[in-house]
Amino acid sequence: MQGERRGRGIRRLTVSLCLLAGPLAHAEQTPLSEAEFLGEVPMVLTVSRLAQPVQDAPSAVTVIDRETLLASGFREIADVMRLVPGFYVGYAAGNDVIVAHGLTNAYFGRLQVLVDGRSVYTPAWGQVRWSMLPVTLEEVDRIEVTRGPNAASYGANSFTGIINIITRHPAQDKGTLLSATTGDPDLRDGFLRHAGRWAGWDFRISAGHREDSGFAARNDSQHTDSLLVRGDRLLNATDSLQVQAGWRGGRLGVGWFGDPLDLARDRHAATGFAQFRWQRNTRPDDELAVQFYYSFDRNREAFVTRVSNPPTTLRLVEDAERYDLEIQRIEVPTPTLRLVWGASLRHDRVHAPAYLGTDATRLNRLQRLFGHAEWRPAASLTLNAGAMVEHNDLTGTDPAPRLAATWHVLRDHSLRLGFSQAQRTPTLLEYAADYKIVLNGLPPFQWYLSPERLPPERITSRELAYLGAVPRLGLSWDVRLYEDRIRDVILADAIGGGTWIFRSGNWFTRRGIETQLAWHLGPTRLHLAHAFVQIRDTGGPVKNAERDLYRTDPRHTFGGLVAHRFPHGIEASLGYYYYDDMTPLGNGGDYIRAYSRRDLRLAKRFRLDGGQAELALVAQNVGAPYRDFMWDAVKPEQRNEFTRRTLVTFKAEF
Amino acid sequence: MTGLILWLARLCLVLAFGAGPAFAAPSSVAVLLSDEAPLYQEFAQRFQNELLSRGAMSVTVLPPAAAGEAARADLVVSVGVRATEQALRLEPAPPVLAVLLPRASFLKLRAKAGARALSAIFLDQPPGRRFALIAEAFPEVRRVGVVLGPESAAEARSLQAAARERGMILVAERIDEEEALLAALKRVLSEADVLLAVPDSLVFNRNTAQAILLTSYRAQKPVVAYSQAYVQAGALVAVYSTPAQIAQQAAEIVYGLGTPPALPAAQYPKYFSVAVNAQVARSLGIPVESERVLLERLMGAGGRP
Repeated sequence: MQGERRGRGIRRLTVSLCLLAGPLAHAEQTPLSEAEFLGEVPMVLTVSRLAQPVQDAPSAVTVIDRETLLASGFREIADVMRLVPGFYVGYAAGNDVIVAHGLTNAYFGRLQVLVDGRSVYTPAWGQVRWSMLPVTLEEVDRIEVTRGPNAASYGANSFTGIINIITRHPAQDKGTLLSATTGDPDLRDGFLRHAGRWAGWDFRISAGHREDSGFAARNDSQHTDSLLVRGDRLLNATDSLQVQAGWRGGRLGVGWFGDPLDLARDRHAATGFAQFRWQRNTRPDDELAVQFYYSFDRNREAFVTRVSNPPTTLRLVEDAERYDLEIQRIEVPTPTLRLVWGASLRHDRVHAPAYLGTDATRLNRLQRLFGHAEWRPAASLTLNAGAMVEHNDLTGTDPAPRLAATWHVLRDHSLRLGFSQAQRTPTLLEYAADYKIVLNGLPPFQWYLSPERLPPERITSRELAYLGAVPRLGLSWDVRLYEDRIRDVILADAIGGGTWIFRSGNWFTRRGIETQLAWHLGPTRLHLAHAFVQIRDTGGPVKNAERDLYRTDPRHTFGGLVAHRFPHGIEASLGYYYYDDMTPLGNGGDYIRAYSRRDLRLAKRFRLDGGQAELALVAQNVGAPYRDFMWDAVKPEQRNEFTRRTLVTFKAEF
Repeated sequence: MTGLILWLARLCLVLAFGAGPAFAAPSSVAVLLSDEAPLYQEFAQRFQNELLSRGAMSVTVLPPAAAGEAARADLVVSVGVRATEQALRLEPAPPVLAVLLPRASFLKLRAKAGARALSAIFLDQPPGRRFALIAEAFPEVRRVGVVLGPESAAEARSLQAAARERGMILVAERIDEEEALLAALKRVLSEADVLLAVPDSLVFNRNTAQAILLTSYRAQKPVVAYSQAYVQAGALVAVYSTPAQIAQQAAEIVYGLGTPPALPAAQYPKYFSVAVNAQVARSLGIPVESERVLLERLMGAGGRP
C-alpha cells in the first residue's frame, strides 16, 4: 500500500515538459520563506562526523566504507578486518571471532573497539565478543581502523590498534528494510529495520535474528536475537542529542564434545547498552560533547560432569558492567591549530565467581585526561602531538604520549614519521584469576591463578610512512614501515599439575611493512592490503615465551577485494584473502597452516512494488577447505574446518 | 549631518547641471519589514545608508505592525515574503519592490497581485551563475544532479539550459512528497558528480538538510548550496547574496526610478558572495579554490545575471 503510494509520488524525468505543470497544482501551499536562504541550518557535517583525511592523520588509518562492506559479502563485521593490512581474523569457534593486529590470542585482546564512541571490549577478557554485538552490518556507515597504538586519543586497550565503527544516522535510512539470509552452515538470519521521523526525532529501530551451526566438528552454534534503537534530535541550530540502546541475547554452543571437564553445552548470553550523547557545534570545527553509556555482558553456563562420583554440576557465571562518562572539546583557536581535549571516568565491574574465586564483584575504576594538538605551521607540514594520562585501580597512573610529523612533499604525496607509547592494563581475569574446579569427592583442582601484581603491558611504536594519491583516478595508497617494542607481555605459564599462572615480564619486537591501496573509480572499487611482519628478540620468564611469541602471528597477510557495478542493477565482487602459517596463543598450541580463500558475491537489484529489492548470492571460500585457528593433530572434534559456504540474501527496502 | 552635506552637494550639482536622475526618484519610500530580526534590520540600515549617500528621498522603516502607514508612500520596498504579502494588501496600491524573497514565492504572489505594480530582487542566484560556480569549483564535473519538488520544478528548464551552456548534463528527479526524497536522492547521487541544491519547501529546506547532507557525504558527492548557513552545515560550496548586497542593488534601482516610479522587471541579485567549507573539501578529498579566487572568477566570467 505504502509502496504503491510512493510509486506514484516519484516521477522519473529527463527534464520533460510535465514538470512545468507542477507549481500550479501546489499553488495553495505556503510560499517558500526567505528563511530558507538566510536562516540557520543546523550543523550536520561536523568534525566528529567527517572522516579525517588519511593524509593528515597522525597514524596509519584504513577506512572501509559502506559500499566495500556490502560488496565484501561478509556477514560478520569482524571479517571486514581482513581488508586491513596486518589485521588477522580467525574463528576460535563459529561463534567466537578473533581479531588481532599482532599478538594473536584466543582470549585476551589488545585492540580498542568502539561503536559510535562506545568501548565494546569486555572488561573481563579485553576481547570483543563480535557475535554478540547488537549492531549489524546493515547499520554500519563506515569503519575507521588505526593500525598501531593510539592510547593518546583512545585510551585503555588502544594497544595494537583501534577499530572505530560508525553507524548510520537514522536520517539516512528512512523507510523499512527487510532482509533474510539462508545458507551454510544451517544459517538463518532475519533482519527488520524501520527509520523515520517522529516528534522531532530521527529514529531507527531494528530487530534481528541470527543462527547457524558453526563448524561441523564443533559445538559452536549460535541462536541470538537483537534489538537496536537510535534516536537523534536537533535541539536547536547548535545542539543535538543522540540516544541509543541495544540488546542481543540467546544461546551459544561452547565446550568440547568428549571433554568431561569442558563438556559441550549451551551458554546463555546477553549483552546490552544504553548511550546518551549531547553535542554542541557553534562552528563546523568547534565542538563540545558529553557522552554517557552503560553496558552489560551476562553469561550463564552449567553442565554435569561424571568424572566425579557422585556427578558434579559445574556452573560458570560471568557478569560484566561498564559505566563511562566522557566530555570532549574540539576547537580551532587559530586557522593552523586544532585542539582536542577532554576527560573521562569509567567503572568496570566483573562478577565471575568461578574465574575469580570470589563471589564478590571486582571493580576497576579509570580516570583519564587527554589532549591532542594538530598544528600546520606551513602548508607542507602537519605536526601532531597528543598525550593521555590514565589512572586505574589495578596498575596506577601511566602517561601515553604520541608524536607525528607529516611532510606533504607534494599535494598528494606525504611522508610521516611517528612515535607512540601505550599501555595495556591487564584485564580483571588476568589480574585476579583464581579458577578452581571443585568436583565432588575430589581435591580442588587449580586451573588458573594470578599470583603476582601484574604491571601493564607497554608498547613503544615507531613508524615511517609514505602516503600517495591520484584523486582524479580515485586512487590512494600508503606504505608503512614500523617497529613495535612490546614489553611486560602477560602470558600464561604452565607450572605443572595442569595449573597455569599469569606472568608479566615477557617481551618481543615486531618489525614490518604494511601496504594498502584503494581505487574507487565510478562503478569499480578495488582494495588491496598486504602486511609482512618479522618478529625478533622474543623472550621472558614464562616457559616457551621465546617460541610462543615468535610464532603467534602470520608473517604475510593479504586481503583483496574487487567489486564492480554493472548496468541493470547487477553487482559482482571477488575477494581473495591469505594468511601465512601460525601458531596463535591460546589455541592449545595447534599449528595452523597457511591458507587462502576466495569469496564471490553476485547481486541483482530490482524494483519491487515501488521499493528496491536485492537478491545476493555469496560463496565464501569457493576453493578447498582450510583450517581456521584451531586444528588438533589428534582429536578431530577440535578442528575448525572452513568448508565452502553458500549464502543467499534477499533484501527489500521501501 | 552627512545627509545634509550630501543633500547640499546634490543641490549644487542639480543647479549646475539641471535635474539628474536623483530628482526623478520617488520622494517617499517605505521599507516594510517582515520581522524585526537582525537580518531585516541589516537590509534596512544598508538600504537607507545607500540612498542617503546618494542624497535621495526620505526613507521610513516600518515594522510589520505598522504596515498600514506604508499605503501613502510613493514606493514600498517589502522585505521578505510576509512583508510583500502585506504590501500587496495596501490601499491605495503603491508600487512594490519586493526583496529578500525566493523567486518561487515571488511568482506565486505575482500571480495573485493582479494589476498592481510589483517587481522584485530574488534571493535565488541565476542558473548561469550557479553552473559557473560548479564549473569553477569542480572543473572536471560533467553530471549535475538535482532533486526538484513542486516549487523548484519551475526551474527545470532554465537549469537544463544553464547546464547545456556549460557542456554539463542535468540529472534530475522530481518528487511530490517528502517521503520520496531519500530514494530520489540516492538515484540522483548514483549518477551525478555533484548535487545542486535547489530550494523547495518539500525538497531542500532546513528540515531535510541533515538527511541530504549525510546521504551526499556518504556517497562522496559534494553539495552545491544556496546559502552560507547550508555550507556551514556541511555543503561544500555556495553562491549567495547577503541582505547588504541585496540592499545595495535595491538602492540602485530605487535611485534610478522616475515619478511615478516605473518598476523594472523582477531580477536576480547583482552582487553576491561565495562560501566554501574547507573541512568538507578536505574530508571528501576534493581540492577547492578559496572563496576569494572563486568569487573573482565568477565576477570575471559568466557570473553576471
